[in-house]
Amino acid sequence: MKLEIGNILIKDVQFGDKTEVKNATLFVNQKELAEIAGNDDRIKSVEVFLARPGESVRIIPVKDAIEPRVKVEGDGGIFPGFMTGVEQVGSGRTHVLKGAAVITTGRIVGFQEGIVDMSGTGAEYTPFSKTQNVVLKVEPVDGIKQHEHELVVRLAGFRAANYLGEAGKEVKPDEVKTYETKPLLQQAAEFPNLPKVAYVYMLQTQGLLHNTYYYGVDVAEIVPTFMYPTEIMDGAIVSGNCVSACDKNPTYIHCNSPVIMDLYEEHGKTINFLGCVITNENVTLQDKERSSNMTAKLIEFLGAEAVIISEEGFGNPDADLVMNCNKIEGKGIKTVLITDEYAGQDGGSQSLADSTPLGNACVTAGNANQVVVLPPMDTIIGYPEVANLIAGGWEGSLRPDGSIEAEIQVITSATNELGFGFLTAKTA
Amino acid sequence: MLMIFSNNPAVRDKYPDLVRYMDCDVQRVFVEVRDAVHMGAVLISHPLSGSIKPNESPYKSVAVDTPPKRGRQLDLKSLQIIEDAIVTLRKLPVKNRQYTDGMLEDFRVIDLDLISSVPPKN
Repeated sequence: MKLEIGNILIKDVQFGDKTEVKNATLFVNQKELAEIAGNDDRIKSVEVFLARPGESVRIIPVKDAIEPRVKVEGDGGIFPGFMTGVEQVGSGRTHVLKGAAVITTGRIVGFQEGIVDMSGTGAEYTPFSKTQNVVLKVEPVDGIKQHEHELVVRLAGFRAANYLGEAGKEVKPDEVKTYETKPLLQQAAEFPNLPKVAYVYMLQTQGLLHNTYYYGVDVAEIVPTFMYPTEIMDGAIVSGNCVSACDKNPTYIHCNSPVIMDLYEEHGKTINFLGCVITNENVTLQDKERSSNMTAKLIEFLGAEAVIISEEGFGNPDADLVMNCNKIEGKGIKTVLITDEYAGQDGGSQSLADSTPLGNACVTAGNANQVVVLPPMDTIIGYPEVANLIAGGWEGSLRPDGSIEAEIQVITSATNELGFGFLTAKTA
Repeated sequence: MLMIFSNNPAVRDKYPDLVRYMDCDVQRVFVEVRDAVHMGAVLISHPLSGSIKPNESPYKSVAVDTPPKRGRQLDLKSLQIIEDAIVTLRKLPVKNRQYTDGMLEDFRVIDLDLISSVPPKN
């Protein structure tokens, strides 16, 4: 499967009469976007705001971030199973408004988390401080229940992103990158002297506000399956989860997974990247056993010699991570784990809720309990008072002057377990 | 036999025949589950389910398989998981928040949703 990604670099976003891309600026027809995003009987109103890097703007609580994309050639459309049919995506050509993002906000439940600051300390922790953001504040009709509310806001974000993506359909991209994974036997034969590496892509799937979808299917309901890595670049995987802001994977990050991008970067040079096995993180121990058994079986079947495993979330997904590690290592296949840590505010506690001696190659995305102070912002999009209620905050987190003292887990993607965040450690 | 230890009234009301309901905090739920594990129960759901940390949500439901009368061997894996969960809960700082009724309902709904993958659908 081969996909060309045409990146159209976006360096500014402005409201305009017509939604279009001109001179690296995304112009947005505010009224039209609000109408399209709000085209659902369950939505009362959609307000559209712009938030640019460096501005004194805080968005809270953030639900999802979505990158505007459009299919130019090839089967299907962006976000299959939601915005289009369920054709196989991941081949042909896709244009991306690189540098732009749709951010959705609005209350879904009382304690939903996620802060994006466009400047100050918080901006150093969230990757969405560097994107030109089109922010949707979505208010559903009164009386809507939690499950439907989540769905309604999720779909509004996808409609908005696809509407903006259309503006890039006829634009000549600034750069075109090609990604290709061949059918397994051909792929294995292409670089016979390089180690064969596969990727186990663990997805958060525990229930309401903890869901992830693949071609519209709730991943909690699947058994692990093979995915061509290019499928994610067309939005085959979307986020339906909006708790644990620091280490959930927004839809934007799925489309840009640094793990997959880096594996492609090394493909044919130092490794032979065979593809992805997607798996879930369910609630019951039987589901965990079944899924990790199937994952290890698939990895063995692919003939992989080494595997990267990334986790999403904290707590019981640590058990899935450990099971995947143990069972794959048990087949004589090396693993590298990517996770983040909840090691206490002083960093001195045990980092994960589960562990294994076989997890001897592990990459951390940071300690989610680390405390920061976010300075006051001139403009707040959303509801600042939730700072006291979201995970990582406490009563009094929102100070009278508008600053926020909290753990970095309140910040969207601060410790993203696909490595999309900024935290790093360097030896001098 | 499936049994759900829960301090969530929404779970009690949905599964009245399956739930051992307790009006208590999350730590107490975990301790009750641990005691049941010592009596031979086997964990069905992971006690740390959900990304909402156990010191954030006032509600928690944990499903176990309880042994028949003649008893069962102690399941060491279940014991380790519930003991680790108790350690994790103690590690997280206590937050004395005043939740509104609407927020409490949201917490109840999410906990109910997480545990609802356990009981048979019909």
